[in-house]
Amino acid sequence: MRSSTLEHTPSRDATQPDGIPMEWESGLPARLLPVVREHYQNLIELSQALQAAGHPSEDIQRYVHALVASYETKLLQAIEAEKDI
Amino acid sequence: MTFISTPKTDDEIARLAALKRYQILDTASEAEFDDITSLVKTVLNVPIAAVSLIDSDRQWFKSILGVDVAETPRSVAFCDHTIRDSCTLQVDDATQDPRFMNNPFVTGPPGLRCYLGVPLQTPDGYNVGALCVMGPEPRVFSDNDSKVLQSFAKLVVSQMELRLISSKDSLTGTLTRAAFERHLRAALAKPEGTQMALILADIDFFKAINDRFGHQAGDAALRVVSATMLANLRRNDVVGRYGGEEFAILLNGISAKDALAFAERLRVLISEAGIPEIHPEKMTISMGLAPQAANLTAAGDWLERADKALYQAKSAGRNRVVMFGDHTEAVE
Repeated sequence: MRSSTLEHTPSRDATQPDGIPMEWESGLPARLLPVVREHYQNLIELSQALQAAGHPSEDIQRYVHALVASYETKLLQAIEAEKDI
Repeated sequence: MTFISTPKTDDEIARLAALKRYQILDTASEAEFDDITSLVKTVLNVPIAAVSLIDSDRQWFKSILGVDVAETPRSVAFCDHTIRDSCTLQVDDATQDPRFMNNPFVTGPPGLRCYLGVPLQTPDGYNVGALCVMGPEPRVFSDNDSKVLQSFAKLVVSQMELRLISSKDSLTGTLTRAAFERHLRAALAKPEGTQMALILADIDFFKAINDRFGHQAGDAALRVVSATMLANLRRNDVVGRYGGEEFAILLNGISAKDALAFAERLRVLISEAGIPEIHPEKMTISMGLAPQAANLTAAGDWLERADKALYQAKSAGRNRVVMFGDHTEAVE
């Protein structure tokens, strides 16, 4: 598993009403926005499911952190691809 | 038992089309999917976790941890049962379940006993595969386990959605350069002797189209070329926008002769296509074709061959197809 970067962890202060971190949304190509929103909502649902299943909050944070980092890598590739042509 | 939204389980042709749209089958492993299966394995404390995609006659794993297998016949896939319903499939002890007690993965290695699978349902309602966990001991999974796996399954789908949208060029709907190169590398990993061909196609005098008729006309030209290519590709062929006005086509399972005939047909179709924005002018393309050869192992080398052939096509007057090789053929 790759290490995650804390600076990209979504924080409550940096989110908009729909739950998307502002630093993700700014500069995102419009066509990527719906899929990013969907993924972020799925991360929230996963956190809730893990919480309901009794997993410790520090573990949940670690899992989500890893998933965010993983997604971010692909997202950055997608943004770069938009600039390729 | 956890229910998810109603899938369209009665239309296998549309389900397979939905799966093909993702262009994910037979691609190399990708960290983001392996990360999910790794977490699933940890969180549910199971020895095997997998992202399984159900093709027409096989189950292919985009990611699998805990057992060394790339694909299985569909007929023995637990996940094939999972995708036929709208709820999670739970098997506590496969030796006691008539559907699985004679399954070779139960009677032989790895000796599966427990299974929990959740359909991977696309936004348009097709179950294209399953996220599953398995183990060699009987186990009763809890409702919470099902809900956690269901949440992970949604993440797999949204990851696939990002992969899909980021692999498509927004103007033409063809693959991006990076996505096309992934297909090219996967093609080179196929067994020696597999017949394939690579085409690089470039719109002739594209700058003049832009200069004379404006960028909207240039965009229209790109859309006509891509639409013509997409409409004429076979099921396993792929096309990508490789540069501003350059496209790359990978033809699978085709001889050099047939690839040349295909390219020529494409050239004629595009030269005959009407583009209102540049009417009454016509647009033409030049193409360089490089069949797969035994000594080709690097994508860069293959592209270089096609590029050399394209250069010859341009040098020879454009609006033609040139095939790389000792017996270079030009068709006009």
